[in-house]
Amino acid sequence: MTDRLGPEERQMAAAQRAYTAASRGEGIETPAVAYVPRTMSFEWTWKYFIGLFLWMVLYDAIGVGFFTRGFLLSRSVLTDVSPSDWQLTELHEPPHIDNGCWTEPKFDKAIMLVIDALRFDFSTPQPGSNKPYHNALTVMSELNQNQPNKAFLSKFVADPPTTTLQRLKGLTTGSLPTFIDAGSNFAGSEIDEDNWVYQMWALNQTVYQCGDDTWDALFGKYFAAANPYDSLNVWDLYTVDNGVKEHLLPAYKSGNYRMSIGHTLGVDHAGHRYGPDSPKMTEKLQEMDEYIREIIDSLDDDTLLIVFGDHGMDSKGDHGGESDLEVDATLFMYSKKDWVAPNDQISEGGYPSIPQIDLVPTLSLLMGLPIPFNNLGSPIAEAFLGPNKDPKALANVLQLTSAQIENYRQKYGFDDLGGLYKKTVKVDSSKAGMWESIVSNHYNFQRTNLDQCRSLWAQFDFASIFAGFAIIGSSLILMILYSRLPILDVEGSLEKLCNYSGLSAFMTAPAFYALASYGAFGESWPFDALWTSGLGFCVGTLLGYSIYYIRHFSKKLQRAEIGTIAVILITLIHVALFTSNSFTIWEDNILSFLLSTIGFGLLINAAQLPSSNANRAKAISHSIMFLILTRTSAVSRLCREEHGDKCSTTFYSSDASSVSAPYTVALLILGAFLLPLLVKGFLIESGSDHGSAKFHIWGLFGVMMSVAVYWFLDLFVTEQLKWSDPLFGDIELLSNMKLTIARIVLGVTLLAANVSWMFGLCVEVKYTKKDGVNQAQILGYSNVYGAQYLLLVLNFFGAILLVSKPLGGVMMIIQMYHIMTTIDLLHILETPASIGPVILAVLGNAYFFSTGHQATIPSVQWDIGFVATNTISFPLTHLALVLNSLGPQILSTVSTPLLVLWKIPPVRKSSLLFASCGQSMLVSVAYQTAVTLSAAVFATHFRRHLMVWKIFAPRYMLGGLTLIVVDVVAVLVVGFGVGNIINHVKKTFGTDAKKTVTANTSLKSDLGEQWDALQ
Amino acid sequence: MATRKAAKTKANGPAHVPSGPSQVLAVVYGTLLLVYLRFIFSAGITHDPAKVMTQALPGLLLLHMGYCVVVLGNKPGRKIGTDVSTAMIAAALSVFFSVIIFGLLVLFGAPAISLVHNTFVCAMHMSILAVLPLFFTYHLDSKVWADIIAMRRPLDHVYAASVCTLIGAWLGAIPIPYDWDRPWQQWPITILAGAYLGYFVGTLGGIALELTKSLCSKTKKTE
Repeated sequence: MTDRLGPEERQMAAAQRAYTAASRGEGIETPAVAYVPRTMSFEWTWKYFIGLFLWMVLYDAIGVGFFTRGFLLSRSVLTDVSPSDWQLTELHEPPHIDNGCWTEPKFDKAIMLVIDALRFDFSTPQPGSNKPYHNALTVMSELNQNQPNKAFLSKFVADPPTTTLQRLKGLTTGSLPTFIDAGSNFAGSEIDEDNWVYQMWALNQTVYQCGDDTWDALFGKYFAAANPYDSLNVWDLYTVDNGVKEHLLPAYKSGNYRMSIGHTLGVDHAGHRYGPDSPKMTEKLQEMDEYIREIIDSLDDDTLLIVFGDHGMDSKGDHGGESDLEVDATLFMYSKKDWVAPNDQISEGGYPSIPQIDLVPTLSLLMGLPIPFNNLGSPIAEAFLGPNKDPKALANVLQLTSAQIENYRQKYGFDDLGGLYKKTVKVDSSKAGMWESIVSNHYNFQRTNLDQCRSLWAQFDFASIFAGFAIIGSSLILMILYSRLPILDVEGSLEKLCNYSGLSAFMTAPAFYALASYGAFGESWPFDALWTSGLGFCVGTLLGYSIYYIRHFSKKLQRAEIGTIAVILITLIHVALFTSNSFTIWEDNILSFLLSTIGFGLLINAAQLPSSNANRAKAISHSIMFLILTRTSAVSRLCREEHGDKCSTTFYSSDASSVSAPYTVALLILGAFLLPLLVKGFLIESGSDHGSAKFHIWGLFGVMMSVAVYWFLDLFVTEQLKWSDPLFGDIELLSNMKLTIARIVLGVTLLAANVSWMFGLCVEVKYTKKDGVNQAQILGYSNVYGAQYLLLVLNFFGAILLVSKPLGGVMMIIQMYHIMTTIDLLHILETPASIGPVILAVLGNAYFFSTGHQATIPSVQWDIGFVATNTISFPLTHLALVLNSLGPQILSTVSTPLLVLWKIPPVRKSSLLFASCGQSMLVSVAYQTAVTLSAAVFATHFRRHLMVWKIFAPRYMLGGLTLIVVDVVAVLVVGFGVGNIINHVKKTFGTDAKKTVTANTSLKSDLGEQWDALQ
Repeated sequence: MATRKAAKTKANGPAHVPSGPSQVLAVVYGTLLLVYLRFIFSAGITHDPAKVMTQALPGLLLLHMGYCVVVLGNKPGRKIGTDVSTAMIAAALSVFFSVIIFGLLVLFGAPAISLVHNTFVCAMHMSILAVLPLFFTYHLDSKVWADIIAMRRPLDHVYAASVCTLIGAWLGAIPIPYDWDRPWQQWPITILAGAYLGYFVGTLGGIALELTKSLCSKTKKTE
């Protein structure tokens, strides 16, 4: 017999499923649609579902695009460096330069003291205020008042996001901050734009830094010496400040350094920890007051002291956003000689307001350095006018800055602002007040440029953000509504629904485009024509869908049963993680915990099966295996920075390395033997280990061994292992062998195996002699779809295995086993249709973390991009990176149709079976959409959070990427996998209504007779 | 589906859990356990969880055995204290059962190599709290135990307390990831506290269920 474990019972279980019942015309629920249900031909269902999922890709991509555009500020990074010997021909009456690069340096040395989060009102006189943070730090305003030619005090306006890392980049490069610096090196936080620290290093001028270790991360290799301190522990108000006090002045006094930088964090931490309205803040500010006085006492005449805050803080002491309190910091410059133009308005308490990036050209030119290539700031007028207010000196530096900015604009590819630069450099020397007019012209040019750049790069764009929310949210609602319909309605309404939505979208998208081009939305409409047409596309889809849906189904949604409640609970738990930074950080452990809980629930469910059920023992052992596999997968971890010492990395051979330990390759080889056996074990139960299965299982073994060999060779290339044999010492030869293996494996798994898959089935006809009569049986008949589809999953698995690092590969093997266990288990438990896809989706998300990833940019395994190529080349590099990063999610998505297809015999209504698969894919995608939407919403909600760019924004990026990739994979799965397998079975077994196979026959265990009859 | 439902309603007979005054005593005892938990905390569990939890084990064992003998074993027509030997066997069994609870804790993500001592002592606490009364009440009746594991038994207050002990321990994992840096966030203090609180809540909930059930059946009778 094909089936040792109660074939009849199995068939009955299969018969209970909705679509089979429907396909036989027994006990069909009356469809909601008013017209008589006209089920479509299979081919059309197939086509329409491909259309539906393609539609979804487009819809989600537009939504993610809108949000990303509004939230993740982006610009291109140019890595050019300003030359030190730049002869400007346009310069009007250039002064003679003895030493220094672009200008004669005004100071020999400089001390820079950064007081993190020093808000402007902390350092200026606030008469009558008794707030703890007012009038505590008075040294700056006193000096500014008493020695106006020596001290300069101003408001120092930051560009949001007001986080220290982004601010330091701005304060050294002079460019505006963005989250994605496209084209930059994603892997490290190291800075790769031209900046004054680099310029000093390049000119052999020494820089010393102490305090906040962000500097060290950005510029470490350009410092002559440094004493970095950990910046993340906001509970500690003293360690960093005491460290700065201990090191900064001695470093300056030693005379070894041209520039000494100190960065204190006490004020910032006091704000985060206690808020500004606390005695701790007074204490900290007074301490800073004393320290500045101490520095001033030890200054010599040729030293410039610069004190500033990199950003402010809001009323609760946090920062990151763009409120006035957060962006208004303090800038104070002082030297013992007369050097600066006095502030005329000081008597009225007026202070100049200066953008932070202005510090960059100012500092560069005061110290005689080239202005960094990307700078957008302007020199501070007072610093160059000098005590005598000589406009000629200022005009000279302004011309240098304008020339640098124009050079940058040309290189970046901006428009020419209507020839503004040409007009600016044209000097009319006949007029009186020539220098004044040069000054005002150049300021005009530089500020126009800055305004243009700022409007292009540096704003959260709430219109886009909310459009993104609306689109992703509506796609979620559409999917949920559609997946909650009875299956007959899903299939019956597909055609009309697609037609309605499609027609409507194809009308609105061009209409919106046209309206936007003619400016019909008014002046303040935030999107250009192309984005507007994207919006129109979504609006049209929504409109068509709702019209049809409300007319026919508004009352016909299935009621929620226990399974659905479980689905909602699981989704809510995952979605709720992003409400807290701690939960987001520990998502890896929490997902494992969630998975264990699901496994435990399944175990109880299995125990509830009546003891008469022959599969009860198997269900229990499967669910225990589910728990064990979950725990095993949780062993492999990559810690992220925020985990601190509560976590140790097991994914790589040690916490501080990023190479894989040799034992992992041994595990990979072991897996290559085990997994094919396990697959065979799962297939053998339904007699499906025949036909194409034999070939594919051997193929799987071959692919897995090749991958193991690949990583074995890699151990020699990375010199983890050494062997005296000359073959294993020849790195170049080994690399070539690796490359060959990788390309063969990719070619086999992604192309060859899939083509051969299309023509196979895991069935075999067996002839036996019974009572003297020749009989034929079809082995594998009861699992005709599932077995063959599993082979397709294994093809994808092979490709993912190749691009996973060894331990990641081991985890993928475990995931494959986990998926098969889950599918068999859910089949026995007969869980409601919606729960399986969600469990698989959670599984995929959990294994994402097991395969050495985190929701952070540094954890992306960039080196995998070079598995199959030596240089970056499309598409191999990109494909490898996507398969590596999102492999677990992809594998889960590809496996989702198995939940429907596993262990059912051929059905008559293929189109209903197809609709059922499509519905389960919709649930899976809906889950990812919910997670992505939540990540986006909370990233926006926490945009002022201290760690938004470290925690929430990267999590959103992961979510957005996962959603798009899962969408695309869903198209492949539905269009290629599910469509082909159902079509193939339909053709082979003739299960269309007109053929002679009737429902009852499939319940008989001895199917061979039918087969013979068909012949 | 039909067969499964039938099995659910045919759960093996009514629970042998006494009602009336012993319900009051059960609530009193649950409160006593909360006091005991407070005592564990004031004994310095945050300084050395393993040591303090180990020291608290014999006390819990005695309390729980006493509760079983005096309250759960209090049936009409039997002298109080006749079940001491049963209680001792149940205690021994529940200590052995802690291996299974330990396994469950590890499967749910407890550290498998480091902190084994902490985890195991926590498992013993949970096992005594949740499993000892079940062994005492149902002995080793395999059918009843199959129902217990499959969550098919009616929720009397003993069973409810056991279930809620596990749920409480599950919920106890929630505060651990927060970055509050509090000493009580150490493994497995929150799990332990969750288990004790769960036991208390489960007892209350179980009794509430029993009362509503008996009220319903009374009103039905009077009709």
